[in-house]
Amino acid sequence: MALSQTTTQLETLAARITPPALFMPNMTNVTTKVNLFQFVSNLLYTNGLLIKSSAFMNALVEREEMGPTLLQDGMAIPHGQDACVLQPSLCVCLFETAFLYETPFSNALVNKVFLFSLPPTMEYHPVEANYFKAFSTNLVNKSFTQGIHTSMDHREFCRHTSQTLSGGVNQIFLS
Amino acid sequence: MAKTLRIIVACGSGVATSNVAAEKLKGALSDRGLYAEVRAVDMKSLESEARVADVLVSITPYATRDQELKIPALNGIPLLTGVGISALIDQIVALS
Repeated sequence: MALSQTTTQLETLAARITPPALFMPNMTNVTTKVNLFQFVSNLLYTNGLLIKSSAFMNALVEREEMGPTLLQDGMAIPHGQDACVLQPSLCVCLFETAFLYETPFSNALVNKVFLFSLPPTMEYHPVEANYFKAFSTNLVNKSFTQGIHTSMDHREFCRHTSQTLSGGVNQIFLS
Repeated sequence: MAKTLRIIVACGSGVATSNVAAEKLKGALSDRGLYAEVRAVDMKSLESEARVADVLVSITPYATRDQELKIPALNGIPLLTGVGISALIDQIVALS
């Protein structure tokens, strides 16, 4: 597969998993984790990606109680897996001012939140599952996360993400 | 030739924290000049994956299931928080 073709395919996939409404480059309206979860649950519901926002909110909270989703470098990757999720998606929330992300395990200031909404059977969504794995794996790559944080708009985010993930494109589309 | 240690890193979904932790684990092992086969897995496939692995590193609290799984289970949370990674690698080295 030619590199330009794979990058275009990945850009399309990135835009499907993170549609424009789920890319928020300058969030200011939430200051706590609970506010954020409520906001995103409602956003996913109003965009037709969930059938019930309260069920997804509960799934997010239950996952937080199981183990930390807080990473280093001001990042968190909360995720909820529930039958109320109609389509796997990734919500990108970037903050100019970091807020205190509290968990049962530790607290830290966070300015980048990547929130995954997952249906219970990711086996039926292999391409999306592989995309999520590749995205998560690259979160240890500082140039990847900095590139996301400096993305000015949705298109730039999709382009940056697809360029970074293009090295593992065969694992995303073909496995 | 020494046998390559097979490590599974598990979280609930197998698509988020376990992948971050697995990547960090590969890096931390590499920094010590060690090599292991490291794979991120989900909890649903844990039992089958554990049959062909030597060590479980768990992001969610499943450490108490190690007897059931018949392989040692280690707490993988340091790979997310960055606190205690060296001690975790020491534990893995002791098992290799």
